[in-house]
Amino acid sequence: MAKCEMAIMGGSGDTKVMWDSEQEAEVENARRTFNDLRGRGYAAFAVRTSGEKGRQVTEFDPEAEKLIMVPQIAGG
Amino acid sequence: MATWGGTINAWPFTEVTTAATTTLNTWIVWNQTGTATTTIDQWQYWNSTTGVGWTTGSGYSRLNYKPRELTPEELEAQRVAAAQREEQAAKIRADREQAVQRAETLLHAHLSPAQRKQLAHNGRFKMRSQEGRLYEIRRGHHGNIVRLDDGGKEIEKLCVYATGGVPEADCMLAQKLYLEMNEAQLRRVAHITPVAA
Repeated sequence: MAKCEMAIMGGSGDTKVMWDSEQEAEVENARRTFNDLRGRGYAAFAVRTSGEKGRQVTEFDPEAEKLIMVPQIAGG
Repeated sequence: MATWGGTINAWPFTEVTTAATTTLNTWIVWNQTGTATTTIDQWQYWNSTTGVGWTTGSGYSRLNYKPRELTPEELEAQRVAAAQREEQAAKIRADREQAVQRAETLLHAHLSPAQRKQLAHNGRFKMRSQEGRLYEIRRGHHGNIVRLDDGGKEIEKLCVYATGGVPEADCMLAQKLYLEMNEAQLRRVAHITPVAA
């Protein structure tokens, strides 16, 4: 059983979506959220709590240990 | 019970001298409807029928007013409305503080111990980017990224921010993540200003 987490940045600070990669319903819920955010221009970064190098992802990975969803960036 | 009252200072008072050597208030002159021998201050005239009086003094005109007294029900309604406004404001403040705290926690969870120390002491931390460049991210939402050479000298300033009104620490983390994992995209979007030598 692997617990995974998605932190979604927003105006109220980040909100969390957790899922168990072995629980289909939880995975689907997380995937829906991921796709919805991607559709709204969010970028997804898969990070590791162990401090290993992360990567930007464009597809939902149910096994991702931790995802950080970042709103679109803009130049100042 | 009267709950409020007092005076309002209105327009500046300017004295003028007419050909007839009468010293008048510019308002009196402006509002005057009579002939050279009749001066009627229309404001005073108007107010004389409403029970509100104007006083002119040196350099000012003043409206003297006294509102009607509020009923106990109206006073209670005012008190309740004020309490509700205060409660709402307190909730907004608390939500904002919570958002800031959450963002700080998230940022700190993705900093190395050395970066956490730098941030605590100097309000900024250094990092190596995906392409090996040295950057410093300072506290702020935008205009807070500086590219440094290996000697620590500033080379460029980058202005880029995460949209959506995210708290400062979330913005800083977004900048860090982009620099680590998609530096090219951040540099494409950012407004980059070279620092003069």
